Amino acid sequence: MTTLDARVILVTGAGGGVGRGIAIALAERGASVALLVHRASTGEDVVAEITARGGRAHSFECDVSDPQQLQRSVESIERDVGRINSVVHNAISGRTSQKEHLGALDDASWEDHASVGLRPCYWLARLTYRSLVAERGSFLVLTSVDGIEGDEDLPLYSTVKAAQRGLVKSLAREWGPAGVRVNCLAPLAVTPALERAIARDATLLARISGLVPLGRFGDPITDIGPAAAFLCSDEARYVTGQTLIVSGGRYTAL
Amino acid sequence: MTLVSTTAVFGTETPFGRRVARALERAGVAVTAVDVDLDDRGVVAEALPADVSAVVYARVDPICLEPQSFVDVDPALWDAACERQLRMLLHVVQASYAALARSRGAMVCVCPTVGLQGAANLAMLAAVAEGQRVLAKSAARQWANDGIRVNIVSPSVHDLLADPADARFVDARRGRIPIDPYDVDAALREVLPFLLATRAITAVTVPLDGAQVTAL
Repeated sequence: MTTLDARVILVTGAGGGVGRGIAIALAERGASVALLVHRASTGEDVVAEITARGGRAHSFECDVSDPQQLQRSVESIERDVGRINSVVHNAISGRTSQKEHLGALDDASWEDHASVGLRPCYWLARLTYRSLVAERGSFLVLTSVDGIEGDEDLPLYSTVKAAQRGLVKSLAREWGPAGVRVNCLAPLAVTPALERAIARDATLLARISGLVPLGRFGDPITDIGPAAAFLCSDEARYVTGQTLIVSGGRYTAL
Repeated sequence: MTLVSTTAVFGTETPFGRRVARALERAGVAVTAVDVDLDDRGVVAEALPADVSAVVYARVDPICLEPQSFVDVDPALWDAACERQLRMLLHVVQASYAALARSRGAMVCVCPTVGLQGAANLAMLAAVAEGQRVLAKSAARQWANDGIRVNIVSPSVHDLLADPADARFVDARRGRIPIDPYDVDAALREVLPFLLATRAITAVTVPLDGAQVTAL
């Protein structure tokens, strides 16, 4: 198993879904995980879960769309623990799974998506760069295959996910000489939104799982988490500027 | 293949946008330059001629072409050089729908290859290029059943510069260019009218960079 002993890893959107799964997987591999969560209660639940599994985690209530809150969280982590080895930006807009017709999008739609998915990439890069250079660390962004192929139902989500990929590839080139790796991970996983959809339609899971060569959707802890752990670890020391698609073979365009 | 009647070109206030408009005109396409405030979706919608059957978005803002260490980018520049650029294309896409649906027309977006490859000190340009490219693909998917096609052409960043030999962009061009010299104006003249007219293609990206990027 990948070892992340003594690593301090910041994870945004860690209160549920893929972020929670990644946080648990990182902690299982020895990392001390700083969870940035929108609601304190969800962070406490994940911290308790990690602690019960023998791991270490701290929760920070933080609206990632607010740069001041992000700054306070990063400063708290650096003050309390002394460093940040890796950043995992996973947070996405709560409107992500809502179908959008292009003609109906307004300024608020853009703000919903950009303020949570894209703009925090900018702020987190600025706020953590020194620490990442000092630790020869890594910056990981959770993107989506929608950011590669586009999506007729989720045009703004796709746009933001694609912009993240352009940013990541450039930062990989820009930060490589300083020893900082920058990558994307595009998961196909069971999320809270998908679970709600499955609860409404009992046949949904079987139908969509049939599209996946491995026959199922990924589990955030056991399928997606290990891939994130790999990209944050020394085992990926020669991997930068890449998008790792973890989709059970559903997407093979790259 | 049908001939394109009227093509609206956005971005003619920028150097590459003018180049695109010139290329279309030289190819015999009737061009209407739409030079309005793209920050306002209402203004964009009003400015777009109703008889348009094709739209080309060729706005590559010079502010995106200024090399900049990413950690030194201030919030105002981040918005101006990244998010604002994405919002502007969104406004044009939204405004274009009605006319393109009526004409079962086509749209082409110019998104430099730097979005595919990334480049040090051009992170915002790369984010914009890739975000715009996938916004165009999403529109292509959403509008396909309305008979609207949306495609992308991707020039090299070097063809966007006032000085193609600008040493600050050395990272954006790596290795030999298979078609060298490469005439991007000739490529625009050939490829744009084709993409605007063909009914067989949508959501594709055509690099116009001398075959430097061959990953697609």
